[in-house]
Amino acid sequence: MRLENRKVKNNLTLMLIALPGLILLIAFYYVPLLGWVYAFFDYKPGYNVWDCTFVGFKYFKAVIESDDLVRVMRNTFAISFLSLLTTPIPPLFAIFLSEIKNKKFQKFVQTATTLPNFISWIIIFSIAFLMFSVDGGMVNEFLLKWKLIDEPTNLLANSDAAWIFQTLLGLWKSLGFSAIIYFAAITSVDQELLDAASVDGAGRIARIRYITIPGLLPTYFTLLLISIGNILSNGFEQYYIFSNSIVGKEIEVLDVYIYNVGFYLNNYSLSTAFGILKILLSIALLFVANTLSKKLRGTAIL
Amino acid sequence: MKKKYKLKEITFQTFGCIFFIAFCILCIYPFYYIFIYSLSTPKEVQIHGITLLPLGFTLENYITIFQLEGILQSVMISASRAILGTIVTIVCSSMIAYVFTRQEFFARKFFYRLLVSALYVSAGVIPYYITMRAYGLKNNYLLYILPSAVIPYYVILIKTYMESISETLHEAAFIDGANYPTILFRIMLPLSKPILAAIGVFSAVNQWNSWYDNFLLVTNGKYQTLQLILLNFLNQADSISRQSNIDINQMKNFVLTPTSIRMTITMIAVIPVVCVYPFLQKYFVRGIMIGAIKG
Amino acid sequence: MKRFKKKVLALLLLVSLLMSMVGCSNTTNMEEGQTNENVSTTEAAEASKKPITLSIFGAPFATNFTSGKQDDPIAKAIEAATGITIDIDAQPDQTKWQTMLATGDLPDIIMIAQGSSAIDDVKPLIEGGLIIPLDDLLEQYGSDIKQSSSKMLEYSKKYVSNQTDELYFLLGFQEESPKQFIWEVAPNVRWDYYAELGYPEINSAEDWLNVVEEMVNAHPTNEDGKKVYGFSPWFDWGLWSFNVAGDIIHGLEGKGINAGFLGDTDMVTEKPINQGILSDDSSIIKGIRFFYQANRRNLIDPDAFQKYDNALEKYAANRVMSCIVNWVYQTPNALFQAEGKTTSGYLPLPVNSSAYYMDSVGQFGQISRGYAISTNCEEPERAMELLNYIFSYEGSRTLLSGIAGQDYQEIDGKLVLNQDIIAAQQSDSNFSLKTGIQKYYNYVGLGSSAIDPKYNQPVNLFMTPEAFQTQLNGLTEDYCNHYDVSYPAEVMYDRLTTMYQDASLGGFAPATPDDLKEIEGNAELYLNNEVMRLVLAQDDAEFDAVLEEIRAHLIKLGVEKVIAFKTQAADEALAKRAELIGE
Repeated sequence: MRLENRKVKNNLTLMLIALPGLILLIAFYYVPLLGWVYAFFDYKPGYNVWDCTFVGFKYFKAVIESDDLVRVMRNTFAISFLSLLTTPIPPLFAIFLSEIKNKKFQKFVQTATTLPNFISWIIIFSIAFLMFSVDGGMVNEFLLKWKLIDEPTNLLANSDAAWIFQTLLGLWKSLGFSAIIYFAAITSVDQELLDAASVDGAGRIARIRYITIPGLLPTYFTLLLISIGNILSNGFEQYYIFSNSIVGKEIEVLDVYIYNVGFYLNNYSLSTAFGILKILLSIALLFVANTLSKKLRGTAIL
Repeated sequence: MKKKYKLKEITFQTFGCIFFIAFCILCIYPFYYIFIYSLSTPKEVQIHGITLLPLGFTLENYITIFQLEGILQSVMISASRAILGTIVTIVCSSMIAYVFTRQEFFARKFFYRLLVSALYVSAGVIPYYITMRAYGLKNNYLLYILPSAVIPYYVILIKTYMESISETLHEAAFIDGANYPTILFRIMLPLSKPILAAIGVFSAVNQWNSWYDNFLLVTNGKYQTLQLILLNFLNQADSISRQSNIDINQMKNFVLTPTSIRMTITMIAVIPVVCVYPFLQKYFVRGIMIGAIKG
Repeated sequence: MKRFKKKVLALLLLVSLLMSMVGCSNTTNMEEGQTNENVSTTEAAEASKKPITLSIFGAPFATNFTSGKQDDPIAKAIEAATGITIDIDAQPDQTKWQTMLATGDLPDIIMIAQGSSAIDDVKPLIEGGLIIPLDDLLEQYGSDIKQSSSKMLEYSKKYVSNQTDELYFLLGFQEESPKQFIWEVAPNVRWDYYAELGYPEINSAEDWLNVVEEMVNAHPTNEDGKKVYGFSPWFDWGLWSFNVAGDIIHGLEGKGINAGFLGDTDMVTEKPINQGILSDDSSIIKGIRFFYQANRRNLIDPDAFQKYDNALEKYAANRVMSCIVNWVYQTPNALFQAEGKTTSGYLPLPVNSSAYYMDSVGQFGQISRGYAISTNCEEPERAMELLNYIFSYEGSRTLLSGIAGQDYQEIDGKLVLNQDIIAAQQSDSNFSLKTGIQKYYNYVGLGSSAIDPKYNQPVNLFMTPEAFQTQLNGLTEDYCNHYDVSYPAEVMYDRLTTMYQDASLGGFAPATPDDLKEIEGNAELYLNNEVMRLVLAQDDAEFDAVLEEIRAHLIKLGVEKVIAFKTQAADEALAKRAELIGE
């Protein structure tokens, strides 16, 4: 009896602690979802939504039947897949850096590598243009000067290299900043264990392999699963800004496509339908990945 | 054996340093370029271009920015939301993260799934506007603080980190008669300083660079954020290009902002990190855990 | 516990800091406000009206300022005349507009001005009860409007009222024949090099390409030794570059056309004359072919396929010989003058046509400058007073030309702008922010060329031939001497009998049904993605093949229905306009 009371009391306390957060979560993330109702009507801003014609799944069908969707989804999945391949790089970077003896150097590198994260994509484009433009781009000037190539390359308008180019750009921009999480996580790796291991004769690689990496795995997998859920959301700015008349078709990812459709068709209901399908698909991806993780690794994030 | 070991070590350290220096150059040079661009005379640099040194050293870009209407007030607003918002975010997010680490919490799975799903959820502009308005957050400073108080991504990070803290600590504390709030505030939070510092950086940077909430919902001149004032200053040419019905006579009246100003604005966006991050880096150093376990 | 106290203290400090910031909010505003004491003395008497503030959301602005209550000299003049302080959103935007419509959160006065959908907003605003009918208010408070805008009022009641025959919208920017100092859309080339070549005639796309090629061959690098290109077009504005280039070429060939990718409109007959991309002689096809041929001749900057901003840099660096518009050359033109090379620079060449698109003119006002008073307005009478001022000759003139007695004087019954103001407008890039003159350019009731019967002069005193003549510099003077005119655009005005597109036709035309709008939207989206394949084609065979493919796909999408509708709609619109004018 006493034990049960205690259990209830504990749960109550926990609930109280969680309550502010839960209220905020629901208020700002879930309540606005009532707006999904727009996708089921022929909504035009200015009218009360309930007065508009009810069209059921008309716009959802329009989404699935759209011609460009196949191409856009192909772009989206390709670019996201390449991104996922780069996810081990931040933790490895963090581990490698933490092995450097000079602490001051470590801190310097940590700060310096976060700088690209703050440069907005518009500026990154300006710099990329400076580097890679055909006429006067630094890279081309350099290569031509040293006779490594005969004709200047046009990397920014190269539709074959577009996916890899964008992935590398994304990596450069986010590496230092993503590594911050791993710097924090590395501190939670038990220092005593590491010392003991090195006394026992374990070399650097062994220590990293058997102690540090396992210590980082929970964080890594959590972030990986989250990224899988984000496959459909590559982000709008990067691909919109680097889009030009030549590579546009290759890097038009879902977010950019939704924006373009919204712009040319000016149909709010259609855009909402797109958004809903994207969200549902993302959550589904997450749960699938989670189940797989449970089966393969034994743990899951949910 | 020892000699071989030392050689290996030196090679490793040297190789490592070279690699990191190279990568740092890759990260710093573009930034350096932006910096010297912002110090160059706009007309000159537009025509001639620069590589390593500014062209015609001038502070006029910064002066133009600082003379923008309402800029000083907006700096106050952005700075305050970065500080206040971050504090609120850290407190609220870690509270709920802690509860999620407790296996005994009855609705743990359900609420956690709710949280994680929220990562992907976004309602669209009009519902967002209507909801914020309904909560009375239109033209209200709290708009900058409350909606970002709980950010699913941060909560997940904190929870993951807290779970790496040994459970024995918890049990020991219970035996000593502590209750949940005490454990949270006296033990878990101090031990989680590294991840909280990381989140502090993320949150402060996000708050400093935020402008969309301002754009849509705050027209009161007192509450304008720095980024919005800067962005408005920039956006003329961009916004024109997005109209499908471009009226030529509109176009020629628009004053086009030189790249110099864009570069200057980037410099301003980076300030919080370059100022704040070094102070938080001490939390990313090993050794915090040692004291905890022994204690 | 000590740490906890420290934290609380820090928090309190922050909160108090915040409070103080919020408290001393209006320091910047107040400082600026107090220095503006230049109120017209004659209108000071009327300022005895109770001062109120009205909020406005409308057309975009050309300059950047902070939203809120305005205190520039022109805003102060409005206050003096009406007792009303204007609180205006400085960055009106499609998204904001939609959210306002969705919640009914409209400010006191609105203007339907967002992009091409202005006419679409009429129905929901009226049916949703979001705006009020203005007939009674007009009677009591709109005497100046009745005097200056009788045609507009009739038009608005019949055609911009959702068939209710009530007055809801006051359409601004009414004018008949705006004139500019220099016009933009033309083959713009380097004037001194053109003189070198002996002012060759340009009567076709081929001629234009030839002349530019010769110029590039004669001067392959600029002063810095950097390579020069013939053209550096930008293609991130959708189909705009092609449409405009096509119109220019039509002009060179002697025809006045206003391009549309699904059908060009003839400036003279005002009817669609072809099927746009589906026809072979449409502006868009001519434009696409033009850039295709320029590309084959290697006249195009290889980086031209990036963005507008990058293109601008090339123009600024004096590295592009020709462009379809003139504003890109502001920097090099100014630099040449400063360096003393007064006859160097880039100018538009005239076309030998009697019809050419120079401007879109609203004789009944522009629907996309349509003012309305929202139901949220608590003082609709005062709102109407403000609108009355804006639509009066004095009001529009103040917005466009400045304050009477201060910025312009009355001399011998004519109004003359002060020389220093004219000079400042040319040289100071912050002119409209500082003086407020033309800051509210898009908000006038009467357009620049509307003639004030009292003085028989246009309300925009900057846009009179007299004012133009004071703006000449070495380059434009040389140009005027060659063509024997007193200001550059006069060359065209002398040749043209048809130069304005009637903006009012939009109101007469039937509303486009949703399904056709969808087809048009999808067609434009598709064409935007595919058009570069035509420009980059390697030879004529490829060009034709790709064009076939594109046309087939567009037909499959259903564009022929849209084209048919547009033709029919144009006929209807013309008939209705004839009715209205005939009355």
